[in-house]
Amino acid sequence: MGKYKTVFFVGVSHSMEYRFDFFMSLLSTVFPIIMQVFIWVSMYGSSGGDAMYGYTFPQMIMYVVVAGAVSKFTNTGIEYMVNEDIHSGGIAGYLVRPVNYIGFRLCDILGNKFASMITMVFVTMGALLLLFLTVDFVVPPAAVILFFPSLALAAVLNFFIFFCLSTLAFWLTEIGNFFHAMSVVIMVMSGGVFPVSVFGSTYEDISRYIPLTYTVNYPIRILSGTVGVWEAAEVLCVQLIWIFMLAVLGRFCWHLGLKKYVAVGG
Amino acid sequence: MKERLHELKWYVKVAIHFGKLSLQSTMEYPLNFASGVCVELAYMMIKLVYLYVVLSTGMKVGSLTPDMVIIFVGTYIFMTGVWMLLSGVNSIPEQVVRGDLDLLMTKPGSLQFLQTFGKYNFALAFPNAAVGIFLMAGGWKRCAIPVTISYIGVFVLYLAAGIVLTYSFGLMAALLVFWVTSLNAVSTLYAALWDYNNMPMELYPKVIKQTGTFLLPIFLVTNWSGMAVLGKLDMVQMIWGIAVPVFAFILSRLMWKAGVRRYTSANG
Amino acid sequence: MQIALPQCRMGAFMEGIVVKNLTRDFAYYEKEAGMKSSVKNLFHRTKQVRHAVKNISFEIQKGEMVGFLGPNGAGKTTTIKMLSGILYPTSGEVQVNGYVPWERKKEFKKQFAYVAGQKSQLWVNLPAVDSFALNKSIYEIPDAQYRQTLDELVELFGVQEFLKVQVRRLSLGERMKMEMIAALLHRPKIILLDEPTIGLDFIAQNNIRQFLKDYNRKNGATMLLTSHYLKDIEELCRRTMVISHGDLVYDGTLEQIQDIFSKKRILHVHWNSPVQKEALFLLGTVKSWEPMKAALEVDDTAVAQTIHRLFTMFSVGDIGIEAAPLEESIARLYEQGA
Repeated sequence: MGKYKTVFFVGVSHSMEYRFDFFMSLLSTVFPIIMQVFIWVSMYGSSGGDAMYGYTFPQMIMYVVVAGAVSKFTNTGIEYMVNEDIHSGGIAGYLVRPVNYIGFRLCDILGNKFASMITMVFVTMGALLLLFLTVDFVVPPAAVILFFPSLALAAVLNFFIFFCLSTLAFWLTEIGNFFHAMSVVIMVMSGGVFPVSVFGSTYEDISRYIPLTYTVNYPIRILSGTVGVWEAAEVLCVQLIWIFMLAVLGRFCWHLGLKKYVAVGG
Repeated sequence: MKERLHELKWYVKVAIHFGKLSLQSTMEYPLNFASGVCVELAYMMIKLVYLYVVLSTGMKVGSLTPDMVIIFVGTYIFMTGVWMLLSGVNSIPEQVVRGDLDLLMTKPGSLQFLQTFGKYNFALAFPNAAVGIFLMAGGWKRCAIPVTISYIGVFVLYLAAGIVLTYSFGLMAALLVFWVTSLNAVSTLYAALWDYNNMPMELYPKVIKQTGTFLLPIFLVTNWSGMAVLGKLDMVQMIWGIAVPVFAFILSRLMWKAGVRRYTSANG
Repeated sequence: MQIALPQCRMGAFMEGIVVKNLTRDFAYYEKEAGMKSSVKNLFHRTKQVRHAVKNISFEIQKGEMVGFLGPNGAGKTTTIKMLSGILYPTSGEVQVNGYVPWERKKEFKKQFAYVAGQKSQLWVNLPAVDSFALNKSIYEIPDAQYRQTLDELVELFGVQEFLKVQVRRLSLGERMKMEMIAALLHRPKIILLDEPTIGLDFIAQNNIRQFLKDYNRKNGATMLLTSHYLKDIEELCRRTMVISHGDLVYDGTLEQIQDIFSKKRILHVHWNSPVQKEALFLLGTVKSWEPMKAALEVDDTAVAQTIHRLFTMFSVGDIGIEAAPLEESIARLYEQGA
């Protein structure tokens, strides 16, 4: 366990290395959120205050405030690391060391995410406070308590989704752009920009049965109170199931890829 | 005078040569071109969702009807294409870190010119430019703006001003690499600011409108051409819309010189 | 070895290179291991200074070919970069063909070339001719001159068949040759080469050496070249400068380095009848031994005496005297600079 702990702390230390980056990334998380808020302020203003896309005004604000931060938080960038490791031959180094590659990468990323988790707590609390002060929006404590575990699970789930995708790098060489495009599409489809309901009820129905929405849309809905406590518990279970299934799939793909990698010698 | 003319001819000739080589390079790898187009289409999807929300709800953005909003979103997407086209600007951070400016520095001619107009990314620019132009034209038609030389002239004038701003701002953002260790955060922040143009500036409250016009004049990049043809610019704004690009260009030039000074005193 | 001509005063125009009291420092930051210092570095960082080049002076005449030797990090590249105008010096003066390089005047840039083994100016996705044509535009080379120079360079290198191949598909050696051609199309009078043969195989190295020699002979270009490979310098440059830890520790011919810095000689002896290894221990250091021959290392002052003793003690068939390997002398020189 010790070596994974070290990896975790090196991750934390590394993410604080560049002080300017650290502050700037805080800002760049906040900026798009502000823009979105204005869009919805303007929308609800001209629609006369009714609920839109199944969200009341405060709920929608809550959604966009937290969505930018959540999608940033859950996005791990693992696909680029794996791609790099495979194509630069870096995995050879992991193969000879007594570590499990997937476990190593997961810990590395969770370490990097730890610093942003603290940011997340503040962003969330700040948003809640702001909403309470401006529009009298109260979030039940149970929702807040359930939100954070679902957020952590969302990050892990996102890790495995992209890990599965990234094993494609074993078979395809020029894949960087593909990852880029996929991550954008996945972010939108997970509800990282708008609530999934904006895209129509058909997609909303489908989204229940794919893992994507469990990385962004559902955690936020738990917080905004558009799903009840019981349903929230159900969401956590579904997240766990998806994590388990994708972990198995990822492991399978990884070993399949390794076989090919070893066979052709990289 | 003759010398100046000769120099100008040199710039034009070399710029065209750079463009040709970039295009040839792109054509060697059609698959890379296609994947680049896919990335931009994915990003464009986000941009278009905003427009979709406006159109599907029929909401007014300030005093702008949804049809008018199309012009603004079109301009924004078009400018994004211009930004993406200038890979000579956008690749500065990477090239500085790798020390790629070294060889370029030994070549005759302005280093800024050789670097910033040295490479173009047609794959990223193409879908944005195409969709942008399509939306601008479509919005123009739906708003029933007269198709006369003077209207188109004014629109193109402020579009050109926007292009100069895109170049200057992009350059300044990229040049921060000389003062900041890793540029990742800066470019994300710049992209976040840029995205404020996804919606017409009328959407925002006065403080932000003022900030985006005077303090960090990012709104000038995409709002002025649309506002000009819709008759929404007053005299001061019109002049401001021309003055800022000139000023920004000069500033970016100064910053370039300062950056190169740092480069020539820092790299080992 | 170096004859200072009277007109080579600083400030007066001179073709060639004049360097006076050139110094370059670099600032950097340090971070200790661990989380604690990461947090500390958020607020305060300690600045350190490294002296890359320390007060060096030299002159290179027009048409001279000078080698620049030194271990990694000695300051070779830093010096070459300052001569090319890529790097400002901390202090000191430089004139290259009468120009101050870091002012980067157009006229200056049109008459010199900088070639670095690890830097590329070619467009990798396109055949090299495309990049050449670009340089033609940039340097404003007239059509006729361009064609003539290109033909000449291509012939010298023998790369006719690769001209139309994508650069990324070329071998490292072919690629470097193309880089050279691109750099020399405008017929520079001064050529600064930083590790031009690095990473190349033996044959490619040889080709490039031969080419540089021919080019220098034909065009009378002034060349300064750094290399890790002693052989490059040995074959190309009559004059060698050695830099170590930022100091110019030697300026002269390579043979002289051996003379000055190695007091050792190797005696290669063949016997008429087998000689025991142990019997040689008193005479000098035994470098190699077989029953019928041996190599002995002795001080240069002891050569005559040792030979005499060998002849009296054994039945010597043949004897040869050799200086200690050049590498050893150079290594000693580097240490001296430390």
